[in-house]
Amino acid sequence: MRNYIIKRVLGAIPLLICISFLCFVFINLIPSDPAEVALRVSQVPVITEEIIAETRAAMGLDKPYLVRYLDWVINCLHLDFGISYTNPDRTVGGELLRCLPATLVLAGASLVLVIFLSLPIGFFCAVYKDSWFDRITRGFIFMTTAMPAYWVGLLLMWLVSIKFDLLPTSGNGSWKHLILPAFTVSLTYISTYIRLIRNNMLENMKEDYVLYANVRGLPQKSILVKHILKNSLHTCIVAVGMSIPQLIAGTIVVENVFAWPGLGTLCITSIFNRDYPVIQTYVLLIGVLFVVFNLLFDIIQTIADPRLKNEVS
Amino acid sequence: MNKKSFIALGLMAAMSLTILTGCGGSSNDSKASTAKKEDLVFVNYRDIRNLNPHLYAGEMYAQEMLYDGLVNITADGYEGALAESWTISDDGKVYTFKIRKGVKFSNGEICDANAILANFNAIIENKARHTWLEMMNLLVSVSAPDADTFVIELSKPYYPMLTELGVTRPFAMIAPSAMKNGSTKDGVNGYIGTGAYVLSKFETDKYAIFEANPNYWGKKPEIKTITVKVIPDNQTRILALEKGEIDLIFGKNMIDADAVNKYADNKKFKVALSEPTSTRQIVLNTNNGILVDDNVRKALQHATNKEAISQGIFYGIEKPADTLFAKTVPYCNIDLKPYNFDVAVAGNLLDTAGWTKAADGTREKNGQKLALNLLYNSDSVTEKSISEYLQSEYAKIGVNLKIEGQEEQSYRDNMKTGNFDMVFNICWGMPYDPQSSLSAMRAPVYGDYAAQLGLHDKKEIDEAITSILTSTNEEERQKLYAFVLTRLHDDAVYIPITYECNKALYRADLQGVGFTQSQYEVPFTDMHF
Amino acid sequence: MLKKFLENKMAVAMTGLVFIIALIGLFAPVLAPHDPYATNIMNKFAKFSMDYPLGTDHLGRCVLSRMIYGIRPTLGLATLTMFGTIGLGAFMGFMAGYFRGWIDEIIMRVVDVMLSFPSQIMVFAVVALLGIDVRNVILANVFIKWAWYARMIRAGVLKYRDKNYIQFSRCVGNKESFILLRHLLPSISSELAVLASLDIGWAIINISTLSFLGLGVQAPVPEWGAMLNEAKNVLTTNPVQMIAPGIAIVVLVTAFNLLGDALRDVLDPKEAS
Repeated sequence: MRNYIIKRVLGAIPLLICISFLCFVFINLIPSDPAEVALRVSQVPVITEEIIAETRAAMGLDKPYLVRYLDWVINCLHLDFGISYTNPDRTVGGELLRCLPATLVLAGASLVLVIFLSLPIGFFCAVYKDSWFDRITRGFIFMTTAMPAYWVGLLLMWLVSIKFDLLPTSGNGSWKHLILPAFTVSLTYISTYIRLIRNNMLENMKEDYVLYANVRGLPQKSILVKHILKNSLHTCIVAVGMSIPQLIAGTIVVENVFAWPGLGTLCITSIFNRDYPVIQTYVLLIGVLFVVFNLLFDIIQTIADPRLKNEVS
Repeated sequence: MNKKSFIALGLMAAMSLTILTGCGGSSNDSKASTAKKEDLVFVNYRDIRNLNPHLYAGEMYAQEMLYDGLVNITADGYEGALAESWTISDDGKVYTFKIRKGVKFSNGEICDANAILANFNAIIENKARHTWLEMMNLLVSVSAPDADTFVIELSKPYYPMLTELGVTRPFAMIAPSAMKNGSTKDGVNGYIGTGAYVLSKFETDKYAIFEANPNYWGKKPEIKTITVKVIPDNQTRILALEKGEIDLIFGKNMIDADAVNKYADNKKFKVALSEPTSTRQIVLNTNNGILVDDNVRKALQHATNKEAISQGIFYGIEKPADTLFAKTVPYCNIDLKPYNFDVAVAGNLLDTAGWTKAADGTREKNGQKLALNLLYNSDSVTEKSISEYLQSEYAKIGVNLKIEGQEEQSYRDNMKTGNFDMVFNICWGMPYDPQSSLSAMRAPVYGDYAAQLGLHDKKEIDEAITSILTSTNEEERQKLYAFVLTRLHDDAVYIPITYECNKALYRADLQGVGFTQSQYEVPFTDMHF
Repeated sequence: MLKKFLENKMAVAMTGLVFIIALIGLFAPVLAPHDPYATNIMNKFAKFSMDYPLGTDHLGRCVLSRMIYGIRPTLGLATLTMFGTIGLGAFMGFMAGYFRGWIDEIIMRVVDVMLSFPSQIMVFAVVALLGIDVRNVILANVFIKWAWYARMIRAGVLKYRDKNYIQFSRCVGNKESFILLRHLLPSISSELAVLASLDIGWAIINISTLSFLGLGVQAPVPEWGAMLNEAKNVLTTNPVQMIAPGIAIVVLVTAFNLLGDALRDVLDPKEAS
């Protein structure tokens, strides 16, 4: 078991290196000269060739590629990601840190909503397969996968906030502000998870041990909950876990619609402002999160599922 | 339990929960709004940023609230702020100010001529940053002979001197103890000023709270607390106002005309419009290979339907503009022949210039297409609509216009470096017009310098502007202004579109919402509920 | 297989619907009542009328015409993206699965790295880097999705490459390319078809999302996502603007999703149950 874990962790390291290298390359591919951009942004009135050359040397842009890459990686490990191009008195790390809590809150709330809605609905869909409940739910799932998240958000905003004046429209003052954005984000993922749980449970229902349990005369409810649901939960928890980074990244559009001040809004603003250090660090952050979460939940799944555990050791 | 009833119960529970939360929400909102009497919730599209009074990296309305200068500019002239009175020497080169006694900074420090001298020294240290102010180039010395007197000496007489001293920045006074070793160009230790308000708390990109300054020397404002929320999106701001989350939207480009129209007859909200403040204009980059030809520039002038823009986009709130500066701006009441909207004339001019219509409708010359890009500020709610309108209008005469919106910072950067074909120029308006705007054309402050580089008479115009600023003779000054404005008009470098005005949309029980001489100032001190 | 396809009513119906929409887009100049780019600023936000069946937008342009012309960028760009993605992914997958060895290793490592990035973010990063242009959006989408297809196709190729008829074909002396095209491609194509039709819905939503954020199609092109961006700006004053493009996107994507599901039923009856 330990060997497996160590192997997986070691396997993830080249991936991380690759991701960091891609991010580093990214900022050096931008069309404008970073030294010139830095000068312009700090409002230096007259920019001459000498000043640009000086700045390039000061920023270390004349050193070989590999050296710059290593410098950058070391800086990143010290959590020093540079300075924002648009607001030179703010650091990139500071900006990301400022916006991170809001996104985490939104992603967290959406996750909770997804779990609490998809579990029971998926469960009942499987249990009452092909009933009117199942059919309506499947139709609903179908519709929601075709609806762009931002459109749903706009419609909800208009209906709930404007027409019926039930909830605030934007910003993140109180928990009331969280309801609509979280609901919109979760709608995009609910369909996947309802389907996942339903299919998982249906598959498990066909397994032999269910047949044996039925033959033994165990009550239906007990079979459903204690056996089938528990087994289905395993795969679902892993699926949910692996999609947490996806959730964090996926709030971008909803944040834009509801003016939620999180990482997504920062990312979009940075793209429009050509604030490359922020974009680069954001991509790096999400990439690393992805690898880490995948690794973590892969290991958790192997430990938790006795079948996989046996396979591995 | 019966399976079906179980489900039904669950659904009912979920529904009632949602309704209850909704009801709870709205009642809380109404309770909060009736309690407000002395605090105002304002809104801005971006954060207050850096409120160093001697730099330009912060929001002007906030700098106006925190700091005072020597004088204030009013409709009738100048009134004293930190300076009680002043005299100007006969040769116009020496300004002596009598400093108001007993003025204190918000931290209790005394604001006397010595404090003001320290401020001026800090500003002068960063001289290169303030080249748009002609007086910086004419400054000989500043001194404080005693605690109540402050003297400024210039090398030549400069008639807009007091105006430049009275604008929001950079001549705003900060407590010397807040400076970093007597200097402010690398930052300040705190935003300590003599103004009516103090910045008490803020969260970047979320909100900022200003409270009334207990040590304020002037009339204490009735609004004691101002919370400024950051809402970048136009629709969201309007929604927030509707729901009572904010009380006032104020600004030239913070509300679109559709909203103003919608609330014109509303009982809950009032609309206020100011006198025309400045000119909404597009400047053409004469450095561009296509635009260097003045036939092309004139064609674009004739192809712009200002009346339609004024009526269609602004519902007539902003009147069409035919000249760079309105006739009501000092020295600008001269006769210039407007470029009337005439598509046929535009077409002919382009034909004369050698641009012929190709099969796809765009004009071509020597294999090059008549394609231009128009840069606009995406934070402005109306510039996008105007750009889209122009895109389709210019297509009718065979000009392929590509529009690009950028946020404030990149937009300004690109303007300064001349990285555009056409751009919505920033018009300072009163009281900067016309002297500061013209003065700024001589250096890369905004888009004017870069755009005018391709003009054959650029040098002449620049020299004339310099002469204007140092002229002492009224008649001569007027003649020079006429010369410069006529040249710029004939060169067709600027396409004036409408005369902008400042707009305010606010809840009906807020009184005293007016406009000052500066379009960037929000007169909070006059407001009350 | 064709008979099975024709028997499945859903497959036929959805293919028909998609075809009709594509045709409408193709014949837009004939069918649209007005020029989608013609502004008439005095007539903005007009109500529904015989002349303007869906009213006008904030610049006075006919909404129905823009919707019809909008089929071209919306559907066209998505289709282009799919072709690019499948083309690149299929090529890489074939190379990896068929030739194995170090080609396989390299390609699969690259695929792993690509797949470990969240697709949404990568698209933003590429657009940020290359500039805001619709071509960059397509490039970004292809850049993201090809890895997934490469892996799928590689798995499919691995399944079939050692089948008997392939061996026989090689014995007879047929060229590798012939084998690839004539034997392997058809076996994969059914799975490909299902994936593609499901994914094209994703592509449509992705491109329209980017246009909605202002990062994709630029004004004045009447792409449906871009139209929703414009509708967002007038949400308080004219909420009706956001209905038509939104419903259109939902209908189109649903059609493709249903088509994909139906194709899957047709091509692999085991999965259908």
